[in-house]
Amino acid sequence: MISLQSFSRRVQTSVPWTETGLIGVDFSIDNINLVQLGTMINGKVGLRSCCSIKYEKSREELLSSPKNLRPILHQVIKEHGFKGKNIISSMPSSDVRIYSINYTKSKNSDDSESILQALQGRIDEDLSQYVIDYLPVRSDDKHGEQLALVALVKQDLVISYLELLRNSGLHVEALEIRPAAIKRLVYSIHQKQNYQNVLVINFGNDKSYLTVTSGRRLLFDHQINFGVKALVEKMSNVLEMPHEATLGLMHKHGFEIGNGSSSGSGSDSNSSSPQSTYIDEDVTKTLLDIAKPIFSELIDEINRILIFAASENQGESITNIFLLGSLAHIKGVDDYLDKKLNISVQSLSDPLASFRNASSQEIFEEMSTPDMAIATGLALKGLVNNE
Amino acid sequence: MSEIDLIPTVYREHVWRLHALKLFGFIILCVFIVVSVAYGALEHVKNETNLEIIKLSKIKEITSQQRDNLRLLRGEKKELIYQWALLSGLRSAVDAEDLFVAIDVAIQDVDIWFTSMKFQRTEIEVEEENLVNTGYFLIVTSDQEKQSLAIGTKMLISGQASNHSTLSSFVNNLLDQSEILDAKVLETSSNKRNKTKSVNFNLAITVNLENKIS
Repeated sequence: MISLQSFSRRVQTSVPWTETGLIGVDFSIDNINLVQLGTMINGKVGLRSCCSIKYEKSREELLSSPKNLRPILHQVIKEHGFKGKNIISSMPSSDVRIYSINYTKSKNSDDSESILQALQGRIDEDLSQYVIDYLPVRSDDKHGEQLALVALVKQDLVISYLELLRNSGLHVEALEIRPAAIKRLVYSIHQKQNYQNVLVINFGNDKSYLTVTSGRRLLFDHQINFGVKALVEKMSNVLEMPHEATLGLMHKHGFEIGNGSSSGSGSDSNSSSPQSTYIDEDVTKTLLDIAKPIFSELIDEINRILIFAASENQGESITNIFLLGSLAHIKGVDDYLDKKLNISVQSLSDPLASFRNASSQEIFEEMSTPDMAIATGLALKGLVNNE
Repeated sequence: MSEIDLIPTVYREHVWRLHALKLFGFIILCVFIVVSVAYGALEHVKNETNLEIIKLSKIKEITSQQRDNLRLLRGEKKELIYQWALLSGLRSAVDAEDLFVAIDVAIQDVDIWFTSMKFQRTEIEVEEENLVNTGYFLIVTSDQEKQSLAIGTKMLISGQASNHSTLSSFVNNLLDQSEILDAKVLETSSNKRNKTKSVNFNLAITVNLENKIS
């Protein structure tokens, strides 16, 4: 019997690649995600290899020493047929601070100096201890006003993270921020649909991140105090059930009530699946009732962002919302938000869908999870004409 | 600027330096290995060559020794041949009876008498082309020249003749004999006793070896 991995490797070698991309490496809360894409002979970007491995202990422990990380990465890269050891990664969101900085560019100074001045006025810390990079978002030629998305990370955190990866046998070609990867992924998947402005909500355990992109541009990134952990905790308190059982219940029943009740596309919320026949709609309704107050807080936050995005983007409103992260796994969340916000909301439950070729469709479909969105976005660097 | 990259330039340079250092170290290691292997190979070749030289020297020593031995042996051979020739010559002396017969023929009708006769073996040099190896001749071959020795026989006769004319006749008669090669009057002196005059003489007769050989 041919193993899945060896078959996967055989498939990969049978595809004629003209260019191989960097390996996107993302350490999400529960998994280590690796994705490698490439350009096929027909000019399309295709999936070379991917994998998502659950941490045996915890992310913090894994990232504490190269001794823990190195054997896992070595094994993963070898077994899954990744090519090379050149990677692109992103700092954990908790370590990165992202600001939208308005600044006025004077004639005698460049953007960097102006941004640093503006940043210094906003942050009362020694900026020399930070690694700072920025992305111009908007410029007003008449008044010289500029808008830039500025990322700050403590230099020692960056160096230790880079050293960790280097000592684990990898060569880090680039270190990005997650919103940049999200923007790249969204643009790559939906560029043909010509979405103007897109909001991507990346649900984390403690916090969630709202990223607004406009075509090839990353407009801004905002962090909100909404996490899956708090949602599960509140629901388990009400249900008087353990956290794991509550989460299992949420995954099984979701928040989707009735067929066709959703006005959104709801990619994963397919009620005709065999599993859905066993779903008790009363349980789903109960779960939704418990979650509604928490969701309403989320909706308020999203509405604020929508208004802010429109104001920052010269009145242009958000046309689509994509969901990533742990909540994107749960059925019906997208439908519920879709209904409440009156904007098309979709879960990016399968970020690799656009990159599978016919021969590897089944192989990689089993491996794909919404957690791979960041790694996929990272792996797209240099392959998508959006930079 | 189109993308945010959080890798500090200093760190990139640091990694580049480390990479360059590793590469340099690797190159040095490779060079060291190559040099070591080359050194080892050359050392091996050197040892092999030395062994070959030693072997050849030993062979050369043996050759020189053999040459010396050969030279010695040749010398010994030459000496032995010489001695053998000498011995053969001595063993194969001229027949005394023939010589006496020749003298007897020469002495007829001549008033001469002998007081002493003495055979003398002598070593004489002769021309090579005249030689036939019959035991009388010793042929010594060298690289430069060929030297031939012959064992000659001389008879020294002392006697008295009635006069010089008689002596002269006797010498002529001797020379007529084929057995006699040469007859030389070495010394003559007049002798007067009891009113009788006589001539004392010493005569050297050389035996004709060719005649003997033939």
